[in-house]
Amino acid sequence: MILRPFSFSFPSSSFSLSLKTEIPLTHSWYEIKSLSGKGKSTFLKLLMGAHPDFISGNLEGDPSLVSKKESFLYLSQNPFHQIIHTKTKEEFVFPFENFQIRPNIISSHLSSLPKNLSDKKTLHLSHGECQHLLLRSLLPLSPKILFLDEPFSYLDEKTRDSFYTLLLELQKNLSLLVFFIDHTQKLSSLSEKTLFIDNNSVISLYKKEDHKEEFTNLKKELPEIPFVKDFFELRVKNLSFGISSKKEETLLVKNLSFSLHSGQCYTIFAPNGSGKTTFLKRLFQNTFDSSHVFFLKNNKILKNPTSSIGICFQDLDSHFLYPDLFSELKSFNLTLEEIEKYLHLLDIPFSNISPFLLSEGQKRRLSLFYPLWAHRPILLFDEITVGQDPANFSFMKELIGHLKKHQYLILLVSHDKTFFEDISDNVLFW
Amino acid sequence: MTKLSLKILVTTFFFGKIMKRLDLHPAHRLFFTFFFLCLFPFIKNIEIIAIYSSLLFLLNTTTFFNHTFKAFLFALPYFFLNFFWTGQDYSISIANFFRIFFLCLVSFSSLGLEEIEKIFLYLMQRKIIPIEIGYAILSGLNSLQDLKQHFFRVRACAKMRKKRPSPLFLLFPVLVYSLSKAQIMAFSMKSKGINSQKIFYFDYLPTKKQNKSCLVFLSFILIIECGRRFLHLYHGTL
Repeated sequence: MILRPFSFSFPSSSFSLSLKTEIPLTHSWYEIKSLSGKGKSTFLKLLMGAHPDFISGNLEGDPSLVSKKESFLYLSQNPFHQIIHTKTKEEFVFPFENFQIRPNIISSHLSSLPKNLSDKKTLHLSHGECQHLLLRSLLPLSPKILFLDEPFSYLDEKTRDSFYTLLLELQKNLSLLVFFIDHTQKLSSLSEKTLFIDNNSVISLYKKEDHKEEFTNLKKELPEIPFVKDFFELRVKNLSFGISSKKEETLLVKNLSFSLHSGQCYTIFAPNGSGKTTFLKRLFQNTFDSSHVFFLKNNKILKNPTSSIGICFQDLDSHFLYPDLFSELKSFNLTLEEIEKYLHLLDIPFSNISPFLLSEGQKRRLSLFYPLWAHRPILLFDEITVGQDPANFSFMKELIGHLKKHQYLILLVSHDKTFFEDISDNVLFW
Repeated sequence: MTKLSLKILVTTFFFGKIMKRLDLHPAHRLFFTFFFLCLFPFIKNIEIIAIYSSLLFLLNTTTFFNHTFKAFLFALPYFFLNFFWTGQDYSISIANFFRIFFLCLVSFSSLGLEEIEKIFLYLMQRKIIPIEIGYAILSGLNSLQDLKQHFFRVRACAKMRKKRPSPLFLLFPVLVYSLSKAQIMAFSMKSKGINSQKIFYFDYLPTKKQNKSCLVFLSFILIIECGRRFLHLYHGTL
């Protein structure tokens, strides 16, 4: 199989991705690496033959590796969008049905699905559970080509390890052609070759041992942020909650108690589907019983806490309201100079593209600043490190420390121990 | 009026209790809904519609009040129109109000009760609709709930930015989200190998019990209608 030269550009931006020389491919594992926003996911989609039906742009050459009859499997960066059915079991068997696998084999795979997952409706699945479900349903089919776009980003540690072992077995037993993007670096050891996209978005092939990462030492300046003068406190006392009902057996969390105040950062570290995102969302919407959860401002109960809370959702597109980046940022009363400064800081090109067209990593970095620009002293961050390259990963770490010094109250949800271990004052397990 | 209300109450209770035990296939239920809605203009007596709506209520009692209230709100303006502006008899206005009320009730309750996903999977399994088209519609319908949640998230984020845009303005980000979701979903289905030779692991065809239930239900309706006609003939009032 040969990857032929091509060049691709989006019609509304200056972004262009190109491969200048032919790359002969063997049945091997290729890691796609670059700085965030340089077109890794786009490259992966082009390899799958998504142009022109599923991504639009100007393409010269043919990078597609997938013929119409060839079987390939794809795990998207946003696993929730890949779910079709409303019931987990039906979703699980869907690829098996398409490949006409015998019902007794399907039954054996279906029985291995954890009960807490198989009983749920897909709408109630967390991002991690969606990823878990998709990996479980796709990997047993052992396709010839596998495209994985951040397959472990939302998984908890235990699930991540189990899938790593499964992929390791697949690598040993089958000769697969695998392309993957993985910022968790868990899969890195499985690949010998790297397809690197440089700063000019030119793709080249390296052997792992020959390739030295170019972006680990990039140091960024921290932005100026206002100091929080008031003292805020969050107190949670004997809180129990579930997704939709108050029945004892459906409760996700029982008798949770903790308190945190301005200048502190707490991290919620719990398995997939244990209600972390639901907790943040309900805190933000102030829908908990005020006898169990309440906020204090200068030791007095805060009557309308929602006006002091800012959130960075897992679903990034929720943050954007305007069709272009400048209108989006101007709505926070930022000057053109400030916009330029922030975009530079966030590694987003200074152009008036749509915020919806940014890469996942860029969107996440941008939406991280939204609560700050909205002057919210209580910050809730949900999985902010997903899709971040090492430079931006350490920038985020420094930023959280910076926010703590400026007396912000921060509650994080993260599966990444390397991220929260240094910056978090306390870790909430449930 | 009292007699009519009493009739409806009795039939609702009696048949509702029996029908609740019947396990109707969603496709059959949809067929009956269409059947009754099509028949509606030709039915002079509304008991038969009342019976059917009672069945729908009792299948899912939690939605009972919600749908009744909605249907009442829809029918009320029609009653006022009839009563104040047409100069019709009071009893005709009431009768027309009940007709509209039950029509709305049947539509709303069946919409709330229908398992659309099962119907589509049944139609695809029977090869009545092509797999590609069926799944495209199905995934679209299943995404509606997610789009609703996304709308709430967008609204919450807008509030965080101290913006109070109109719901119409908020539809723009939702539209963009739905387009990107549709793209990923379609591509995902392709990568999961969707094709017309697909097999079905779960059976969506009606079981023997469901077929029997369908016949029992049909017989009930026929017996009631025939009985009603016979009684009216006996009293010479048909």
